[in-house]
Amino acid sequence: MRLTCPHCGERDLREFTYGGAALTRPEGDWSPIWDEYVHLRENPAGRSREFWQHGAGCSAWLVVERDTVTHDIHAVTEAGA
Amino acid sequence: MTDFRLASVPPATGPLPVTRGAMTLSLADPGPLWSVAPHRGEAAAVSRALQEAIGVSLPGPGRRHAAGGASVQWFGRNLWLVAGVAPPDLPGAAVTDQGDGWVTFDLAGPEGADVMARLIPVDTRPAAMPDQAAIRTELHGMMVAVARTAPDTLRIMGFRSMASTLTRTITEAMERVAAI
Repeated sequence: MRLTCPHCGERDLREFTYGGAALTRPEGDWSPIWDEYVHLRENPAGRSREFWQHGAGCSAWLVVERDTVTHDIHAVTEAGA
Repeated sequence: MTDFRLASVPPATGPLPVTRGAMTLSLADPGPLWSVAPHRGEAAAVSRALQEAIGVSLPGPGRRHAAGGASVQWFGRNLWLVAGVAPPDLPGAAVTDQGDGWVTFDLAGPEGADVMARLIPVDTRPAAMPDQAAIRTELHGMMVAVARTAPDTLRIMGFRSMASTLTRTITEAMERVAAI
């Protein structure tokens, strides 16, 4: 698998570390939404949004849209950009 | 009164420089090293301050600027490495002395891209990595920075504590290229 880092260009998997599903952090105090955010994950056969860190490259955290069936990479953007 | 002075010790001792085939690996001395990480929204001001003080501005991702004895190399997301001269007081950036953390090698000769092809997962041929290009990547499990400082010279920076491992690994790759 290769990811096109917005800073470094196309690099292969050995430079990246998986950082979990890219979820939106809930606001406010505890609620059932927090429980979902912490514990409940989809396991999609198809498109997923994930965090990856380019640890051996520019160190940026990336949001990767990836298809878990076809292994297509649809988008790579910098997290928090 | 005795005058005590601190003497700098080279980060790698041993067989350097080594020559294998057309390639030579030697220890480079980039001088003092400083990392500069501008605070949010301050990159342009930091770049101007550096340009005025040491004559080199912040390059874009994947690039290196050098002038006189000073150079500024892109070193990662929102991070640059100033080498050769100390940066001025930069209130808009986090500046850290890195001089004791890195070992710097120069890999000189016409087959640099062939040697690096055995070491890093990035194309370093001149078409893909022209003069003054600078990248961060992985070599033998270590984070390294590679820059083309001259048309036939690749400058490789790695962890100072891993200097002998880097020396051996790069020398092995040079031997294998020379053996073809």
